[in-house]
Amino acid sequence: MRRNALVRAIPLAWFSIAAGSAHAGGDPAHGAELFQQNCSACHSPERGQNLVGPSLFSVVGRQAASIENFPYSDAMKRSGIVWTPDQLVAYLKAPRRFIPGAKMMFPGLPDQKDREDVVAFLSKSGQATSTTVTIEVPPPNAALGIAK
Amino acid sequence: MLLFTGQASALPSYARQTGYPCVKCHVGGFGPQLTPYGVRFKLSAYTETDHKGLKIPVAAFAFGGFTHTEKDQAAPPTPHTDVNDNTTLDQISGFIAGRWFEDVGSFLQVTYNGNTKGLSTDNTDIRYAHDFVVARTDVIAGVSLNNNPTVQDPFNTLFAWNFPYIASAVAFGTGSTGTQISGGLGPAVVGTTAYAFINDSILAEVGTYHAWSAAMQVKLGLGAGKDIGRLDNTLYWRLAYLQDMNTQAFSVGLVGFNLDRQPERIDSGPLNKYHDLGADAWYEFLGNGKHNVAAYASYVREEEDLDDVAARARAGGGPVPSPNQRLYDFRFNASYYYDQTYGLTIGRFSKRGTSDPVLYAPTGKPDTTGTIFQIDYTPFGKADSWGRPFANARVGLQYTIYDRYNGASTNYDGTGRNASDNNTLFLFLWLAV
Repeated sequence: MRRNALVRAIPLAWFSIAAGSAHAGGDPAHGAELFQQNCSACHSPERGQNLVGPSLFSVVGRQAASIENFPYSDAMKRSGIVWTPDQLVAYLKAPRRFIPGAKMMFPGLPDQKDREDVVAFLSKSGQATSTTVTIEVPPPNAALGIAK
Repeated sequence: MLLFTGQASALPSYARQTGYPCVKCHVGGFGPQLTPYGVRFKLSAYTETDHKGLKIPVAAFAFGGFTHTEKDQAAPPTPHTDVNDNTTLDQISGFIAGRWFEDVGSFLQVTYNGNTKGLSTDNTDIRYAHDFVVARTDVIAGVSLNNNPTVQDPFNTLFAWNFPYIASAVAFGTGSTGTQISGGLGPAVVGTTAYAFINDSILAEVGTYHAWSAAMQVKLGLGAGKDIGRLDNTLYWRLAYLQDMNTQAFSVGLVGFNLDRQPERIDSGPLNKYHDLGADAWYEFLGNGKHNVAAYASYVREEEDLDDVAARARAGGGPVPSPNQRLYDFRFNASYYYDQTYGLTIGRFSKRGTSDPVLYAPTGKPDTTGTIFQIDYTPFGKADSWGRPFANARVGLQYTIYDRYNGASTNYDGTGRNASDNNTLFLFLWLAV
């Protein structure tokens, strides 16, 4: 059953491959895979769905620590950051070095292209449509098997 | 004899608290092998949460198995078992494990031992941790109140959590002699350590331990007549460096443990002094979760000044051992997990020391060395596992080969018993909810 999930159809009401522009040079499809592998245990790209980390729906362009009632760290609240694509790419290199005191226990993505791809994916996630699309992503167990 | 000590697993209460599957924090989906994320979770006082609903930090596990040794034991290992081919319920443990408050959490274990039919305290680590920023550097600073030196350590190289993570309680363990840091003190001690985890990479820790009173040890279920004595001048310290590269990680470290021990608690009595100094290394390849490799190694040298042992021998009129001894404890294991489900682990243990015909009669050596092979199957613990996070199980087969036992490969006890006679097959089932 999990093997059948190697290519999973995921209805993503918030996601449209065709819509909008990605972070320059970023590959949103690869970013979706990286998101599944590295981010999805703690973050949902769906609107209003907070996990250990806040929802990343429409995170690009958002003020840091702006989701109401989410228990952000003081460091994140004080950061004053607006999550532009460039800020996100820089942050994802080493989050707790970019914002010391931030709660996110993720060592970061060392590869610049990978970070751009993830930000491209996140950029797409902000452009909600009611379209249901199909993308290829790894199975959840493999994705969450990675300890990040 | 000293049994293998690293017996604990992933706790479903942590999974319920965070919403994570077990594989987020544990190699192999069951534990106790911590991933770098699990290392940080522990150092952050087990407090991370998804803030959803009421979180009750309670969990339980049980394990038991079938034990067969190459030759029958000389006597039944417990009053309730036979000299061979024992099927045992080894442990049922209850836990208060998880977040208590914003910065306080615990791993607190109480265990019913099916072999001794007794209830006792077990591994305990209650800790406070807070994230600080010092000179634009992230620092997790914390305090651990615990009852077993190394139980608070986040790496699987030191003794509370090293391989084998489960072992037969009615077999031969690692021989009759061991270093102070490798077991035998917990949970009869209570200690406090303070630590800082700097920039998610440098761990520095220092602390001290005291023995519970003999009466308190009985109240804690540790048994009458098993007092470990008075401990003085204990100093535990740890320094480790972790490099997390997302898909793989490594650490290297040093550990020290010094103590003076007066076994009969005599004021101004002679002391047995121990100075343990160790080094460890840890590597994990996590990749995309399909193929996981982990390798852990530790080496400890213990300097002993056994003035109390020598004084008692002298008072008894018998031969007197040399008070100056050394023990060397080396452990290494490597494991491979496919799909976080099918595991193969090979471990090597080697305890050696200086010769003494009195202290280590009849062989005159403390050496116990051997190799452990384990295969196991962990069907649950993944993101899409059935019954997550309540269904957790591991079944496995473990085989321990002894090269030397208590100083010799042949006739180690003077009655003709060989080390290989202790070779142990252990089929186990481990459940957690």
